[in-house]
Amino acid sequence: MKKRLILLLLFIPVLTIYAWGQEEKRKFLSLEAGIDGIGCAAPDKAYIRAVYDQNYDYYSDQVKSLMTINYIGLKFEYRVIKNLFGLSAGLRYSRMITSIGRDSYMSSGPDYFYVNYNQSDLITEYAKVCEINQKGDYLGIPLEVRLYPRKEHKIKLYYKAGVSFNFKVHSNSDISFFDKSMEQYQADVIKVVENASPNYTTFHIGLGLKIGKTNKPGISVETYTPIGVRFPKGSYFVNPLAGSGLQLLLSVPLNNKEK
Amino acid sequence: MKTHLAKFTVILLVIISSCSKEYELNKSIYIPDKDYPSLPAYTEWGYNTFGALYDREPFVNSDLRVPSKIVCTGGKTSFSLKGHIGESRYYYYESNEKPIILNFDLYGFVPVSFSNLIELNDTIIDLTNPLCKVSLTLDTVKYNVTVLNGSLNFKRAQNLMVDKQQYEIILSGVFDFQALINNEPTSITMGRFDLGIANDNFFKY
Repeated sequence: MKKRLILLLLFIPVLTIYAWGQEEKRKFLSLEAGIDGIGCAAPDKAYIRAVYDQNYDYYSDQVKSLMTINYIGLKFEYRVIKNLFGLSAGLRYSRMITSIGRDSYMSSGPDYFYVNYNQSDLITEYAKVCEINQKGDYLGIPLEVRLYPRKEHKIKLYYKAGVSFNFKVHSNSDISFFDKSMEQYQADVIKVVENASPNYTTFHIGLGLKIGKTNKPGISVETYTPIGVRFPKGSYFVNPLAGSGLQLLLSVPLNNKEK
Repeated sequence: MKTHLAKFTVILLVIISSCSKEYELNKSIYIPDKDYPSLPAYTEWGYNTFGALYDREPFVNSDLRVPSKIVCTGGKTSFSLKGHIGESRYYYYESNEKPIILNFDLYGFVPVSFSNLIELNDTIIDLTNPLCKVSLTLDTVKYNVTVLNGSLNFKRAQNLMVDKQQYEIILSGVFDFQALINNEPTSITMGRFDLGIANDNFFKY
């Protein structure tokens, strides 16, 4: 009896998948563009000197790290299980812009911090720096799954989850000095700044709004909260925590003939 | 009215900008020692801290006071460390903190300006040497100190440059000695300092 029950339980999903297999599986090609804003941990670096007392100082007096990721890409989506789920993968170019800076807009505190860029036997050198910026260009693979409503509407809300794996192509750093005459020492100071991460992974969950019928080209707006960003083990310029993002999608069906 | 307001704004901005000049380099940055968290760790960054154990009781700099002064007068240079011994219990509005000043008089060393303090780099001073005199002021009472043994070691003296301009001299080092203070045998151990000396805490007259 038990064996039969197990067989039956195994058989039901097989039958279901077979039944779903009879549905036409819709395919879409999408052009994506988006922006993610990621909060980062306050920089704790031996080469940065800035005193911040959380009991007495304004939050704006703190040296802060920020990260934004802008991206554009092309994705292929394949719908399964009665077109309820959309599985997509593609290729993405992203630019990660990170910065460490200070803007004491709430107090008379300085709008700069000190960067220690040279310490030899008898000399220690600091440069007064307003901001350190780093740009990293990455090529990545986004993998996403969407859950669409069963009913056909012209405007429909759907759920989404995804990950992306991104690999560095190029990066550079730039320093904005408090004293512009220090620009000539840019190369010396920048040596102490860590490199951009060689790769990063993002994962997110979110909501999307699609305008347009399923079998017609349409526009979708997706919003994600939270987005997690992970770097490989090591010491990097910023230490990302989590954030939010917005994505715009232009989708074109590849098989728009109704069965 | 508008002109007055503009003038006032300009004056205010000038005052604010002059007050903030390198004031962060004058602040103390307390990084606790891993083994003795009540003492600052030994550093060489000009963190404006010092600490020692005065008969096993921590003696450290106070946040809001100048931790160190160098005074050159009468053929000697006085290197003083000003702080407190004991602790405050803020939640109970109690304090058994006592101000303490430890002073090292170095005879025969008279720098022309604070930048000449760089000569102290890698210098060990035997505190029993007659060219060195130690005194201590505890809770406004000045005591003569008869050093039994010990040394003051300026491990490192560095020029601190900010945007290629000299700002101060960083003196980092350690000290340790046994002495008779008010005829009582006393140990001052685990002493360490990391101090910035500039025009505002260097005096010569």
